[in-house]
Amino acid sequence: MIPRRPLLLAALFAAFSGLAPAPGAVPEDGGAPWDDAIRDSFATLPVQDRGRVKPVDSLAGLKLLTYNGKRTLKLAAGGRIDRVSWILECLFYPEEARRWPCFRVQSDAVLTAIDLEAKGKRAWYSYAELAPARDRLFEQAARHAGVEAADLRPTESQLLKLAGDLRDFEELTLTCAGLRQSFSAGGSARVAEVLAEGSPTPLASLLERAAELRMLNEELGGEEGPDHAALQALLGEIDHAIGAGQGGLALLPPAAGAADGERWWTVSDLVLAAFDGHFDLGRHLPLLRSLERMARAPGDRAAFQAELAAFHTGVVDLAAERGEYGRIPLEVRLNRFRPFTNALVLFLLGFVLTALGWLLPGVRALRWGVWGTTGLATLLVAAGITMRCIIRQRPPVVSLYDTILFITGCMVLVSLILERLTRQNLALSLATILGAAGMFLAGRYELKEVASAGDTMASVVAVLDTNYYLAIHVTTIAMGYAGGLLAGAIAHVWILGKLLGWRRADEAFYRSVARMTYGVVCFSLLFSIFGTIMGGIWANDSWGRFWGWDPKENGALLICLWELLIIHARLGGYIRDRGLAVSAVLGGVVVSASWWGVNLLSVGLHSYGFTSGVALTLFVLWGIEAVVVALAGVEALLHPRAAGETAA
Amino acid sequence: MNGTNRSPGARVLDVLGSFGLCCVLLLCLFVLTVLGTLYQVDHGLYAAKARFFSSWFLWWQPTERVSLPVFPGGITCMLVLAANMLVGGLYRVRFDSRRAGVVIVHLGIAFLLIAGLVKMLSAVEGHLTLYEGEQADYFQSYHDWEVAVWEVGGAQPGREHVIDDPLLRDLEGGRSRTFVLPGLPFELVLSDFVPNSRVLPKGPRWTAVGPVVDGFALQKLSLEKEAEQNIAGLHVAVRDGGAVQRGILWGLDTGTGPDTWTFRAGDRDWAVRLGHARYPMPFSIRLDDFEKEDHPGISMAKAFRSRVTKLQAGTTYASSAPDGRAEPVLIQMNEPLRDGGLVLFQSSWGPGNAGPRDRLFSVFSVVRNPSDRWPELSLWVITAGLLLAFGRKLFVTVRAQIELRGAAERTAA
Repeated sequence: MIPRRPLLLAALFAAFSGLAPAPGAVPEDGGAPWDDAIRDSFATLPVQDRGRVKPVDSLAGLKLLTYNGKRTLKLAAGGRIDRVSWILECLFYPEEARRWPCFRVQSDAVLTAIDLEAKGKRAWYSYAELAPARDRLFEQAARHAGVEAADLRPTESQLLKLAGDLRDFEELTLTCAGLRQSFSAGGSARVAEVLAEGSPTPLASLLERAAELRMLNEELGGEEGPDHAALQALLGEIDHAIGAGQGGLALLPPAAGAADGERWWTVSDLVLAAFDGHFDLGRHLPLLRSLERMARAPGDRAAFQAELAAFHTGVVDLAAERGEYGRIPLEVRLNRFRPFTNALVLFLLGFVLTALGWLLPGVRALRWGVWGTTGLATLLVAAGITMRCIIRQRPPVVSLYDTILFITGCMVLVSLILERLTRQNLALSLATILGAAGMFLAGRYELKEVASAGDTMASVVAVLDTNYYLAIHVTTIAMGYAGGLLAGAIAHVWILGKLLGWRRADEAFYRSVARMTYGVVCFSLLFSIFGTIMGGIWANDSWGRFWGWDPKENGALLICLWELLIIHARLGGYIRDRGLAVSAVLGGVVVSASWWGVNLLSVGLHSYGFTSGVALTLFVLWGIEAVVVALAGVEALLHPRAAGETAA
Repeated sequence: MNGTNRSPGARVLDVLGSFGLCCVLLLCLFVLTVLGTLYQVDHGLYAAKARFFSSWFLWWQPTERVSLPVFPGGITCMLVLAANMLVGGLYRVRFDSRRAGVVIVHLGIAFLLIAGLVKMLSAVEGHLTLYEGEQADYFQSYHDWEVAVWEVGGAQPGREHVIDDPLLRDLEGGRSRTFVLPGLPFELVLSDFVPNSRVLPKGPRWTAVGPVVDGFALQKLSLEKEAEQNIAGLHVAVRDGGAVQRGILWGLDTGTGPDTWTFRAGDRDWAVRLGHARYPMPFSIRLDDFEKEDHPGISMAKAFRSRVTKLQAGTTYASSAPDGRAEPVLIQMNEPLRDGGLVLFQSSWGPGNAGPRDRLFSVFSVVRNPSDRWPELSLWVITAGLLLAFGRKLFVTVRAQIELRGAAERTAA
């Protein structure tokens, strides 16, 4: 007999792997293919971006996500290109990269506003296609730049975003621009004498002569003549090269203990520092030479790979000395592991198995399949959250994106514990639905957070720079949210089940659902009260007051008040099972208002949590919940005395 | 005992400690919190606090002269809730081990509400703004005003006479009051307090508050959303025997303190000013250095911190010879200075457009709150109570569930 479980698992993984095809490294309408060795090495190269040192792999993914809504790029001729190959093209074949359609424009009105012909709604454009309207775009963006986000019309917001993306892309593609340039002595013998390698001279060689060039400049002083003119022309060219690459990638870590602190350097920064004369190029010049050779001859892949290896080693050594490399490989592993996307697939699979289980209630293997997929998905979520904690050296919840992951994880975990206790198959089914919904929302919100903050592990504002309070206050509040939402979800089963006559005769089941709801409300209240008071204590240390009636604080208070109301109304006998279910559904609404709604008000001290663009989703959710509450009213009319209703 | 035989006092206690009253109060607080939160969007926090949370009632004003209480305010709800908790959760409850958690939770919440009450009644809040190198032994209120009078030009600095905020706010709506301050050879008549105002040359197109003085008058402005941006104004008249001198006091602080109005009375020179209320500190603070650290490559603040020297009262600063009375202290986000009943927090900095070599100033929030640490204590009490109450409940439920399942399995077998 063939064991059934391995077969099932094999089927699961076959389906699972089929859902995530690997994008190719060979662009069909781009440059030459990039070897795996080059891509792997480049992916683990550290780079400083938006205050954080991250692998190029993350940076490329985040940039592509910002520009085009995905971490891979779909090419016009068909096929996809992976993020590392894309960024390699941007740095070493910028002309090719400018022809790839990496900008997603949500509304054709944006293009009409800058006198470009639109391909249609939500179409992709290349830099080359947008370039003719570049100046008009920047001009219009400048006009809207000072306007509050809430006062912008959708087209204006999208126009601003497109302008920002375009500028960012320009800076990215100009990272190595200076390194491709050669500099000539302009016919001056004295300048040529300094440029010992002869003319034209590449930038790295020029930097070796920076001190001599500076001395020559001082020597020639105000002297008019061909030497002076040639030197000024050369310095002008260098200035131009510096200017072009100034917003490029900060690929070069300063040596540990360098006087100028934490900021990594772009190629332009290094040139400026060299000509400033207060900097020893000793360890950086070889790096610049390697990068220069890569930029000047990317087509010779064997040589490119050798130079990349040298550059990688040099940069990693410098970063490691500064204590900034240790977690880079882990972040690359996290990117490749894609725990949250995989968890979404597993939760969905779990839900499909649950649905099959409803059709075939006697098949125990299906139940085990749901346990297996949901358990594995929960482990993936936990592993992903843990890896993010290690990478950032922060507790699990720092940003709004983190809250979705953590709250989903908590909801699923509590559901699994409930299922273990009750074995009604209800909490397990809910776990698959809530898990899938949470991971889907996380994926959607990731786009928004990356578009606004540039990262989902962004640097934190000064007030949040305390792991003690982040660990205690934010995580407990999030657990309170999770409890409130889970109680609301369980209550849906009571209301809809009763209305639709599901397990009509099984009053014990409904009593169990009510007990579960009540228990989860208590769980939520415990964490909400602790988290809210702990938040006040944090506020007392940061802002000088325990309670300031700030919208975010009020949101947390609303959850506590509502759950206290539920518990006291239940204890006092004012609500029974139906009332409990309705109040728990409304409790879910209160939690969603506290979690997202107050952030939309854009007032108060919790400005780091402000967000926009989720109002419609929130209103739709509240509309649905209003319908559910109305359905509970209908159910009450149909069954005025729900038999077996329990008191607490 | 039959309910009909209960004494009126017992019935009152029944109602006061009932679950019904508790639910009503929780619902009222819920509604107030929702309304107060939404109100902040257009009117600011200060106005929302005054209207919804620090009020006895929510007032509806159908006409300019009629105000009707339409809903209990935050103070009313919280006081009655505290009474409800004490009566219902502590007095009426039967004490036994099963209810220990509930009793502890109610004690903790009552203590938390008491902490809030103590803060509301006795706390003083303000700010201390210092440029690098500056020193001060007082802090200033964000919202409250005072009028100070003192003699100028004498050999010794004269005593400052202060008229406090509540007495000034009484003068809104054209009211006036005469102040006879001890030792002063004149009477001070203050009138027409305006919480947000500006002083302008009187023109034909606007109505002045109070009289026109030397061609200038006080114009009333609507209140700012950020209450600390309001600039109060009022009229002052000095009666020295039969002579009356009139002036306008305006609270604008241009960085060197509000302007003073000087006058002569009793053959001596005097000054009077309207400014934010100042509160003395039992020590002086000198800002030695302010440092703002950004995340590398972006303009987001990673940290801002102030290196200060705390000097005991009467000590002058001598950086070269610290004598134990001058103590260096680092104040930064999440790490305030607590001393002498005061807490100084790193709050803000400026100027926002400062260049790399510009002199910076640091803003500290200062609070004198006797119940500063009480919420922390109540947190642990409440948590212990909740764990006890819910933990016990969870234990009982799990045990019942296991027994239920065992019975079902035995039946199936």
